[in-house]
Amino acid sequence: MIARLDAAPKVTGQAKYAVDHNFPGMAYGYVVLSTIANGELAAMEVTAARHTPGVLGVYTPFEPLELRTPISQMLGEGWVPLQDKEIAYYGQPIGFVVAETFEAARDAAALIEVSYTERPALTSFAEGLATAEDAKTGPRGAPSLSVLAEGVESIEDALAASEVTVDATYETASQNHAAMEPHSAVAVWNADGLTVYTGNQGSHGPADELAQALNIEHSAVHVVNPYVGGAFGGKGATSTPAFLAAAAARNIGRPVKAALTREQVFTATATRPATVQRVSLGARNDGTLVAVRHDSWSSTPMSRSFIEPTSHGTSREWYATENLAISQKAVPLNIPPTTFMRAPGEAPGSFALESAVDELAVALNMDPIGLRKRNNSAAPPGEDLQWSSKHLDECFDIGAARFGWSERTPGGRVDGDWLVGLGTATAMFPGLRFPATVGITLRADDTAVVATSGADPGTGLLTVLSLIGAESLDISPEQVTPRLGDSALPPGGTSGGSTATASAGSATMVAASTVIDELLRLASSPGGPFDGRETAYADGRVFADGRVFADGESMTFGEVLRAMERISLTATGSTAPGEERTKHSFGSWGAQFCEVRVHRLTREIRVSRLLGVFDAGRIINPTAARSQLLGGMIWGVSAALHEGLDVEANGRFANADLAGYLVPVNADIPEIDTHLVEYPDTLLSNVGARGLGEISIVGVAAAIANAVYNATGIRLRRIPMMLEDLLED
Amino acid sequence: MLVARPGVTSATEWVAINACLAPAAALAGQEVVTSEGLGTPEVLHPVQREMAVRGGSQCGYCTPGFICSMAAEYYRPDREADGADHGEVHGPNGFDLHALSGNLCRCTGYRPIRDAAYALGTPQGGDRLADRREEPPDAPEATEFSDGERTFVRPATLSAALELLHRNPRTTVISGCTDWGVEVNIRGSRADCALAIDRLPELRGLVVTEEYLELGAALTLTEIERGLDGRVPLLAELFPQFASRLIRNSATLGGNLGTGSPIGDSPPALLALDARVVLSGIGGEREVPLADYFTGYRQSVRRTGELIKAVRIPLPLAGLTAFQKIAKRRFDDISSVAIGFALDIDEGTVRRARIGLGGIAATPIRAYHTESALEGQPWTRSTVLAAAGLLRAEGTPMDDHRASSRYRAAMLGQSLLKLYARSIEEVVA
Ligand SMILES: Cc1cc2nc3c(=O)[nH]c(=O)nc-3n(C[C@H](O)[C@H](O)[C@H](O)COP(=O)(O)OP(=O)(O)OC[C@H]3O[C@@H](n4cnc5c(N)ncnc54)[C@H](O)[C@@H]3O)c2cc1C
Repeated sequence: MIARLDAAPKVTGQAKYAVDHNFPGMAYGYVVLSTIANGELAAMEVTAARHTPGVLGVYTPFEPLELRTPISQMLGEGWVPLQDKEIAYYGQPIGFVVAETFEAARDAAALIEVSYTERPALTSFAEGLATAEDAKTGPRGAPSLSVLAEGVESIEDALAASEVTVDATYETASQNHAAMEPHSAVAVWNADGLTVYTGNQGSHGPADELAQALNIEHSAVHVVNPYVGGAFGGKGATSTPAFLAAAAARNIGRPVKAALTREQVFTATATRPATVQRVSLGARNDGTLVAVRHDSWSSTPMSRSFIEPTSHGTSREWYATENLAISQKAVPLNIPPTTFMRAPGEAPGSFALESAVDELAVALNMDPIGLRKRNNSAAPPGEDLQWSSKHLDECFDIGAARFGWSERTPGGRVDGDWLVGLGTATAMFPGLRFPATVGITLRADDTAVVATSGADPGTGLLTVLSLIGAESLDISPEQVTPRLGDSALPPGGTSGGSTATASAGSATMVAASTVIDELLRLASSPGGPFDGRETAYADGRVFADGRVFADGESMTFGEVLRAMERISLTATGSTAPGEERTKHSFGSWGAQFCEVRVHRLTREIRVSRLLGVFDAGRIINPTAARSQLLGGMIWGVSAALHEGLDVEANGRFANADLAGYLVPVNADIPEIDTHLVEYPDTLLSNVGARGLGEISIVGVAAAIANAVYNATGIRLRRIPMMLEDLLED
Repeated sequence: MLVARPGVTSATEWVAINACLAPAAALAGQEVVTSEGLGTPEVLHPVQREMAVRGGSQCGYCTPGFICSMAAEYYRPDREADGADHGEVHGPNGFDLHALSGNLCRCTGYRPIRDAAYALGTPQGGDRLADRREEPPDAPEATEFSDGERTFVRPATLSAALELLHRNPRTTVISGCTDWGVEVNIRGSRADCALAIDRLPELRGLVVTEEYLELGAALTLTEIERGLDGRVPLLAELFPQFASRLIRNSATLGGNLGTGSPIGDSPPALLALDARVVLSGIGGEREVPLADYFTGYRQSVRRTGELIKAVRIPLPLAGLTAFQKIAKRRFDDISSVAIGFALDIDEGTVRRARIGLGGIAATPIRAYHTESALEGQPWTRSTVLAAAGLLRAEGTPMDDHRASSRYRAAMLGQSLLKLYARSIEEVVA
């Protein structure tokens, strides 16, 4: 069987992404970026650019395209390019050239001379720590929080009273989503308004933001997003090309296509912040945690767009402890905007916490799995709401058996020139849901359409919709046409927070039962085929007299509709997180296992084996689930060994391309596998799924660092790991 | 995309290259296939079917590129499906996973993509592209395009190329375009006149004489690799570490020397092999030792109007050779340092030592101090330790985001220890 419904168009090159859309008369836009990190634009000399053959328009903050600042429901106040002359980071969009061809636009852009009134830029995270400020209260609560046992005055006291303590500082680098598809848009105006083809994580948000920015009616904006070449959090906000293409297209009265170049993606979108985290753990000699302290610093741009909630994403919830104190600071810098990236908070946070737990296991001379099991939490510390469904111990047991954990020795082993070590770590990602509306249309030809505006940027939502739709309607998946990626559809299924399956899935179930009720009502209504009789529904059929049995008097839903001379019957279903949040805590859990080999002489690190065992609720599509989980684990390898943006003193990224910003290639990837323990979590939603797009990246970097320690006795506390950190003097 | 090229074991081979680096004009008259041409959603090609069934396509954006790289390997005539385990990067169907090292998947589906690759069978009768291998490919045509402003020329002969270069010294020579294509894409470079030399027969010879082995400057690295078939162990060790198959299918030796990059991978190996560069100009040919070729950062003794015609490697080859590339990513990455070793050891004594280094100075350099510290000395641990100390001090390595100067220097020394350890193992084995 084909693993996903959109596989055939994708493998044959037929899938059309945003820039694959072409229209008669279309012009091409090229974005111009700043080359200083702090200051003000003094002047932009555009005469030469404007006179380049083929140039149709040159827009700058001196001659801007009119755009208003939109407020988004999910992301708060947005940012639109070219509206003011302030420069807050290197690589900030400051101009847009539109021409007959891409090359003409690019060549003309190169002719623009920019002068600045420059101010000193603060670009170094290390230097910025001195002026750190408390993070704003975010969705995860106040920046600082502590839970102390009765009679304990402070976390310092709790740590001081602990029999064994570890205390260390960890660093993680700033990263970019580096989705294969650069941010892009094609904007077309016609009598009905504006249509924008642009890759995003849910077309409703951009449609709303574009309407606000362009000051036009909501109903006049149509955002289409048929295929998305990866997002990972980086396509949540409306992109600069989408705003500029839409505004410029209105200005010149022609369709406009705009895409960022690969290099531009690194600054003209948003990145994952860099973090510094100090973790102190206190335990009894038997391994019982009594004190957890986790202080975090996150880089953030001057606009304070986002901080990486590392303490809140990990230590806040993961282990049972009597005393807990976490804090979150923001370090404002002249760097490009920051935003969520796959497992925001949890991914870098787990590198610190799970390394620290391993350090504690060493200090206690305990098995790291035993230590983790001993401190398994039934609920987040200081809270009454128990985890709805948690099978972490089972994950560790299965993983340990499959991975050969019992053969691990404290000092690793040697295989020829290679030092071999094993490491493990916990993975966790909260079980969340977003509000979602799904529409189901039953059609007279006995097929059904399941539709919502969200996106499938590779996650598999399209296929999930068809599977859950088929199950809820009790028909075969072949009868279901799922639809996504169009703001004209009911709003739901935004790709983010690993929520799409639980959110759109449960809304699909509601929509299905509503449309079935409607169908039954219709069938037994006056003039209906079962006029005045009781009806029941099963197997895609309406049964007479309310009884479902083989050979019973029945009609398919299509037959009912045809009998009533109807083409279709539509209903929507909506769900939102609610009551369940007052009864339980929700999270997916997992155990990561890793084997590394470190070369005795060159210190090269090779990850040779990886296994992740996850407890993520019910699994809807096993093949796609496996691909998602393996993908996340490879992200973890990449974070540990490769990925990191290097900021030069002037604020320029030194490695803003895929030759310098390394992500693994196929042959870098070791024997890697996943296993799922399947316990449907129907307390979270009727679907029973908790989502698994993000959990599998969590803990991998720590498992690798822990394995490196096992192999070499050297503790690496910053990622990406630098081989020189393993050099012996 | 796939291009029909002359094959080694069949008349034609389907070779995968990077579409984004190939100028369209350079493909005039050649047969090209893309993923759209392999199959349709209704009738999937076997490669497409495996990728679809195994979940190898997620967001799908990288998929067409993977499909083409995978199809090239699927059609590789000497891929042997013997069901045996060939180590971590070879499938039981003979599929070499390195064929995919030039493609990035960010989702990242490497495991299901590998599952798909290793599940492939052999092409069945009636397979159009398989049958196509029996007939020779269309030869690239001598071409000249101009849009009034810019010109693309593919001359038929070396003398025509040299003539043009002589007449118009501002001509941009292009070969595999794996460097120049990047200049065009990233820096917006333009050539008023691009002169394609990659198919000039005079630059494509692979000749073995008593005294030397000559490698044509316009041979692709893949062609050299397959043509030599392991005859030069040092180069055999180099090729798999040079970029990826996708790049090696276009990249030429002439281009690698032509860029004059201090981190090119072939110079350290060729320096160790004592290679000489054959330069050809309108006034004739001359030969320069590679050790004297580079004169400064991206500068060389090559004069305007001259082309690199070939590289000559003197024979016989040294007995103990190695190429070590230290890079952050295991494959398809730029070297932090690259080291080529060629040592003649006779009755336990180092008679002659040649060591080429890349990534530690403005040009590729020879490690002269280390070489003389080894020559005449017994090949023992103490000699090696002393020489390794000297090797660490060769060049002027820099700090950058790939590695610190300390690490680069340390790796130089370690590389000699690694060579020594390996040579001892070989003796024992
Ligand atoms: C993804 C990627 C990975 C890479 N990885 C590596 C790597 O691992 N190691 C490495 O060393 N390089 C690497 N490179 C760089 C590049 O592939 C090599 O330098 C290659 O050998 C260039 O050959 P070419 O034929 O493509 O040169 P072109 O791009 O065609 O030309 C490069 C330059 O050489 C000149 N030139 C070409 N042929 C001649 C000639 N016969 N006489 C005189 N001048 C000539 C051209 O004028 C031009 O200035 C990589 C490039 C890419 C895009």
